[in-house]
Amino acid sequence: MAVDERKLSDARKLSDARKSGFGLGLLKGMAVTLKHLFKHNTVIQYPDEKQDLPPRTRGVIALKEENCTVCMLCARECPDWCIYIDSHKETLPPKRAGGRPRKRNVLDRFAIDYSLCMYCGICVEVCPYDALFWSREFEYSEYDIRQLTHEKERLADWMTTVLPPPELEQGADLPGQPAAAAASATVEATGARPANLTSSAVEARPEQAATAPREGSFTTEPARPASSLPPQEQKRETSPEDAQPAPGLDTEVKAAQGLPGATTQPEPEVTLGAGRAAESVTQPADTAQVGSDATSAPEGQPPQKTPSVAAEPAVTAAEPVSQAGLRNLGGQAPVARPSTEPAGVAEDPEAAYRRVLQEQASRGSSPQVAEARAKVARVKAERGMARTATPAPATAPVQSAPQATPTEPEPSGAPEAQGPAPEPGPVAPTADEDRTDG
Amino acid sequence: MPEIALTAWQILLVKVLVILTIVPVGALAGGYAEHKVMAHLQHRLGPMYPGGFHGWATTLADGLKFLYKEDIVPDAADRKVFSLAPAAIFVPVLMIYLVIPIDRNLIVEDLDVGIFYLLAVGSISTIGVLMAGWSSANKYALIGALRSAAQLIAYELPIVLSAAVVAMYAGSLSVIDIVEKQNFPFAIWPPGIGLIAFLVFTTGAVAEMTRVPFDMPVAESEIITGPFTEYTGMRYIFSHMFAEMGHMVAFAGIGVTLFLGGYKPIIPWSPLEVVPGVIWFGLKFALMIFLFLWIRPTFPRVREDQLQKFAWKFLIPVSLVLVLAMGAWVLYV
Amino acid sequence: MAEIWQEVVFWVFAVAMSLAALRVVTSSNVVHAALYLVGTLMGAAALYVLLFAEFVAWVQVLVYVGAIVVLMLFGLMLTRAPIGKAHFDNNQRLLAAVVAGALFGVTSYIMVRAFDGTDVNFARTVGTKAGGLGEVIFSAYILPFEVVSMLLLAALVGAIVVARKDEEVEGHNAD
Ligand code: SF4
Ligand code: SF4
Repeated sequence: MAVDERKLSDARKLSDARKSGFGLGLLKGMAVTLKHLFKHNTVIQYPDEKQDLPPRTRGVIALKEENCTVCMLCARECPDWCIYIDSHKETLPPKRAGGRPRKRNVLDRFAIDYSLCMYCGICVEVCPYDALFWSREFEYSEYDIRQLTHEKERLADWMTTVLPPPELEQGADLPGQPAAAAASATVEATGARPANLTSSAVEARPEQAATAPREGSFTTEPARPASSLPPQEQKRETSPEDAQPAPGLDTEVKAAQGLPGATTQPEPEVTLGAGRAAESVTQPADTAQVGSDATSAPEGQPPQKTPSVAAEPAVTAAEPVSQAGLRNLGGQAPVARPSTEPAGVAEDPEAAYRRVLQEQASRGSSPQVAEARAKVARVKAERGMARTATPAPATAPVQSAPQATPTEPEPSGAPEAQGPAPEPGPVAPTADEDRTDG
Repeated sequence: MPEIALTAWQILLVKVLVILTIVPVGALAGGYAEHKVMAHLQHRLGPMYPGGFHGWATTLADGLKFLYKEDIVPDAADRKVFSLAPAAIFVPVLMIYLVIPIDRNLIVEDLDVGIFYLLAVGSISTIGVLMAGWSSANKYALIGALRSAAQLIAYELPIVLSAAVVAMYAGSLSVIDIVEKQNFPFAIWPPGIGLIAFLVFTTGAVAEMTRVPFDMPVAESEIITGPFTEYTGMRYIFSHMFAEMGHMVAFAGIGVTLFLGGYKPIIPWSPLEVVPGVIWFGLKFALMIFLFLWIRPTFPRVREDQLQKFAWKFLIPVSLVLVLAMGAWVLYV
Repeated sequence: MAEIWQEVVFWVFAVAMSLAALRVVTSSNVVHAALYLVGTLMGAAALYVLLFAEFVAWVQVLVYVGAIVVLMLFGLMLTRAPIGKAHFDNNQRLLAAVVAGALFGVTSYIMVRAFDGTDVNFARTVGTKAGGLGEVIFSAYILPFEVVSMLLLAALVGAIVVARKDEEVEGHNAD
């Protein structure tokens, strides 16, 4: 029952098939729907019957805890920064008498925030120790978005739902030969920062490709504490925002230069997901909350680069205000220091535990998260560490964590160089810095 | 068996009560049928849970849910008009049922002007729709109401004219007379005219119900639910759900009465006369309802201007020609 | 018995109609006025039914309520019907009252004169069947009927001319 004569003629021009006659198209349409009325339909009554999902379904990520070596690759490669890993180092007695004591990483926390995860699978791909797997399980919704951060117990439970790896195809390469080479290449490319500054750095982290040339220009200068860069420091003092990328840059410098920490696994127990650091990790002390979100990226790297620290070697926790006045990061400066310094803010472990538990509860965290954070706080308190957003225990750094190189001239009162270098992330230096540095 | 003597008023009261129960029950059943038939036409299952067996209680549960919903009147709304509108929409639908003959003697009132009454009463709802749209103080509602009114006016004419064709054939406006005059094959005789009149009527009826493909007034993608955008709870269900379903049931009844031979057996064969007329009516009625439900998932929505053009430039001329043709048939054949 | 009922119903409708009619002219909201008009017209239809003039009653409903008032509302809403409390009054009540009063007086005078002395008794009213009505219209009153249809046709053509936007009729539009 086409109405518009012009439309009708257009339609006729369009296809001969439509030239069937007046109203026949309508009848044809009705015939189609009528046919479907009598077809057996294929609806799956979901909660009652379940579909057999394809084996490679990306349902949820399961963790095989025994396999995880806390190498941090997954957390670092995750585009959403939604994997949270806490760990500590244990010293085992030497195997033989007179041998060196062995060190081992122990996973304290492994959590994936599924409200952020985009199921890209990069973490599964990148894990060199086969600790992460795709599971077809998909029924893990929660009533509260905060509960979607599933801890390692839950992730480990899902291991039971992981399918065995598929059969190899006929004529496929046996694992262990060419594949192993490829795997090691992957580890090198993604995990290790290239010791020599080559283009592989760019390949490994494409998102940093833009900064690559700048790295090159940086590396012409020797490694140095930030205080030796007066122009930059000036910038930072005047505009804290500009300063933010700088620590990252510095790390890049270190990485590019093959500093020990940067070459292999530069991440100590820095809890990643920096954008959410303020909520996902133990909160910094109350005084330090100023701008914690904005500056969380460089938090892991203690503020040795602030001129104030350099200028005032004796800065202690008792005087955070003067720094806060200079730079919003400064508020965290004193508390971010590792415990080698006299810990002005250390408290009774049990008290810390209870306080953090309470804090978390009042902030509405889920019980597990609250407990985990409280435990972290207690451990830190036990070790006499200050509470920071990112734990940086100098006593037990993760294997090959970046250590301050002895060659670095250290301003007194800037022991933070021992602190971990945080993952720089894809923060490009601003144009200002370009000019300053280049 | 004791004689039950009822006065005319008491009989009328009983009949009205029956209608008052039939309409909501019919609307619920119609709603369920719509869910299921549409689902299967689209290769789905439709509701399966409420009530257990194939979700038979879906619409009942829906209705209960609507009962419990908050009744919201927008701040800027014209309260009185806003709350009266659902009644103005729904009552005329109820009144239509008065003159639909389910069997030779099963009719509330065999009015002398039956058809005319149907059409007149059916046109009152338009005012209710306009009231609803205007009083909501919502531009979507107003646009919807205007579209709705324009559409109801436009498609009322084809319906009136096609009904007039039937009335001319039967030589009466009384629905009982019309049914009695119809002979096998229904909807076809007089050749051509009957079938086209039936198609015109069906198209017009679908448009009057503002159902797909003529549901521009409640086109959810652009104006939410049109005139009923601001309605909640029982008011919504009365002004929209029940009204649409009630309309569908009523139009199916009218269609059966005017074109499909009402309560008569499908083929004129004396053994079939034994089967009560209610059954025949029910069968044809189900067919008609299925036709309406079948149209809905099959066709896409018609654009507003196409919709108006279709009514004024195609349906109305066609039905005018039908009237002329039927006049000629009655006079010379 | 039946007459009494009819009398009662008549008075109920009459009073309701009068009140509605009063509100039509006094209500300052134009849409409300139109809706009160619906009430008045429906009352008139009810009175027709009371007189067994079913056909006329439903014509009243179909034409006046179903079409004319709808078009009126349609036009109002399309152009200038403020929603809510906004009033819409051109302060010509006195003039309107004079005109309406004069009209009412003249019509009632004519009516009273025409039916002078005739007692309208419900018991005596016989229904007007649609068929009879049609016969009367197309025989005795064929001339008025045709005149009215010519008038409507002229109105239709006029409306189209006014609504057209052709170059040639631009001048007519200005009128
Ligand atoms: S799958 Fe999720 S957790 Fe894993 S890398 Fe992608 S976003 Fe991160
Ligand atoms: S990449 Fe694998 S081994 Fe490394 S931290 Fe992640 S899960 Fe553990």
